[in-house]
Amino acid sequence: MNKFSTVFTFEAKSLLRKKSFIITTIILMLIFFSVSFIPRVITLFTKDSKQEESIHEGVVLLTDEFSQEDFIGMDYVIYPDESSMRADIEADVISSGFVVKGVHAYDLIFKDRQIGNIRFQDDFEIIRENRILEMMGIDIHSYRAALSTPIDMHYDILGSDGFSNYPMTYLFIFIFYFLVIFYGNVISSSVAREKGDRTMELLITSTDSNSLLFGKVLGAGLIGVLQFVLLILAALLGYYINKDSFGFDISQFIQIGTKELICFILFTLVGYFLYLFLYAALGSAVSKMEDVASSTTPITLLLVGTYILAVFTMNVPDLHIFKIASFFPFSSPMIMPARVNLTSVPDVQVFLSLGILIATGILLGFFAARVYRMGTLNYGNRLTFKRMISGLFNRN
Amino acid sequence: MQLELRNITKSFGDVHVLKDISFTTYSGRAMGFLGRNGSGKTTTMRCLMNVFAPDSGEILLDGKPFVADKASIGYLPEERGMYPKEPIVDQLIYFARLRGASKQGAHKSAMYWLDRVGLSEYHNKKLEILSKGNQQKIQIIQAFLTDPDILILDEPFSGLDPVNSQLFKEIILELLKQKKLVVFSSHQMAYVEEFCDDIALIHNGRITLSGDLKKIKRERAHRQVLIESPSESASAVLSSITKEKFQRKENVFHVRLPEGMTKEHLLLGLLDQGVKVESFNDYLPSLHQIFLESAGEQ
Repeated sequence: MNKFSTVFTFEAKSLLRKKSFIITTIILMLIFFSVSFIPRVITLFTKDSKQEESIHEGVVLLTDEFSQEDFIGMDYVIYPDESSMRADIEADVISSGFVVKGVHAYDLIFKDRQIGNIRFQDDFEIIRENRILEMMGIDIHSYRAALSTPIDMHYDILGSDGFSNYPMTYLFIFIFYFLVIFYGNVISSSVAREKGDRTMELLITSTDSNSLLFGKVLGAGLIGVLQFVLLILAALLGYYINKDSFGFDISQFIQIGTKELICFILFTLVGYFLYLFLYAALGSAVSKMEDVASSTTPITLLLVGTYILAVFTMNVPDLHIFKIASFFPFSSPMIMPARVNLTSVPDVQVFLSLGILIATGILLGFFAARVYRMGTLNYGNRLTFKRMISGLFNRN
Repeated sequence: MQLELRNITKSFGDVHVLKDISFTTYSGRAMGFLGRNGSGKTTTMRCLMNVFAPDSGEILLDGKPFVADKASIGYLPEERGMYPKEPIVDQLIYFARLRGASKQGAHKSAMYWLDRVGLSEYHNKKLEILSKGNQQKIQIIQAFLTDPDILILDEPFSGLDPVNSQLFKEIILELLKQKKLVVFSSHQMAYVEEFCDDIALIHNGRITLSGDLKKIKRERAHRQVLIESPSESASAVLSSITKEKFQRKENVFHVRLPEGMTKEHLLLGLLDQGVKVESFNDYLPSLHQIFLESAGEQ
């Protein structure tokens, strides 16, 4: 491993010098930066359309239990009969109409039904409630006044604040997923390219394959992390410029504890390199660049599977499968930080899982170096999984 | 130094690529490892470099097991490959550093060799902008960077024009003078003939002949002469004197001396019978002929 730093520096430098890498970084930073302008742009458009829509709903009253004033006060157009309202809906004068049949019944008429809440449902609830209270002889104003008194309550969370940490947890999972998918392919292509260029024979006769593989993966991998940090910074800068359009303050989600943050960083970094070793191994198992995508599919599937498991079980972090997955080294980088965020996890479990992850990572590194070494001997042939495994136990 | 291969065998699946390969090479003597395409040269070189281990046999350096990873060694693989998109000097320094050179030492050596092969002005350019022949030169000099004691060069002359071939022949001769151990392979016999001290011929994975080239030539030349004569009667007279078959190419006769007859006897016999002799020489087979003969003997 004594030539590790030489390989590490060379790989990192050659990636940093690549025009394609610099251009991609700049373009991605611009995209991340401009995405933060989307809420501002959306508000510009939605302001206009809301005003137009609000006068576009009609009501027909087929009952004496409500008065027209109840609805006019809420910006509805009153129609004398259902057929004239239907005609206006057909002619796009109004977007929808409601035929009120009694305190407990109404019909809805749409031209095109769209996704989202129907304002009338909420409005009708209030009008109906008022009517019922009236019928029961209760004073509506004192009832509403009593209800509007704020409740004096405060949280006392002994473990993790799963509710507030939820968005951050999702972000953690996504960051890991993105990092691995994005840079995994960079690594496997770079290894496969070396094989395609026939540089590998020169490399492995110049130094040991462990130095080569660890240097390559850690060098290129760290540059990946650097690029990713730049993207996040670009996005954050954009957010602070457009802070007002977001409608929420991001800092309310970043109230994450130090323990959670350290846990996330450690698991993400170690897990990221563990996956990169896998990508490197599979990159050296193919003989042509074109085969890289198909050969790395199993890892991608594993990653997507873990991602889906993480996202779907986030709501119930105490589920058994969630616990088990937080120890399994290929899923723990996503799931253990999520568990720590969402529920109480004993420190010993966190350390155990991290230990398993680090040990597996190092083992996989040496495994990848063996496969990398074996890959050089297989010009023209694709290294099958069976040969890969049998080769590991072979003295060659 | 003395590098010895003993009974090396190697198979890939059912294909027996190397069968009992043995030969010895010495520092300061140019060793040509010669054979046709697919005869097993590159596989032998790769076994030497421990790219893969032989199935059986041993490789010894001065009588001790040879470990390529630990020896001071420069290697030109048959599969040429460096980084097309990296600056030339950077990757030369990288390869030298991987083999243990210091940063300054690697830089100095890279610049020296680039200058030596006339490519120093391209040192900051990407490898891919060079012509194929010039890329080949970069490939070769990477083997020299760390001033190794042993040089294993697989087909160093393929793809080079005559001027560059000559340049590298001179460099190799210079390295031999410094008592380096140089092994190179080639399939172009005529090309390397004049400058091999020792040869090992490989045919179908087997060494058919190995040793000192001059000695081999002399042995193979044993009691054969080349006679040039314009006389019409030469053919008939030769038959009557030697009572043996001989080969004829225009005016040149290739004759094997019968038992008991000396060169002097033959020449006097010819002159006595009025045959005009323009030249009379010992026959020395070319490397090409030696190769064809030794392959045919298998």
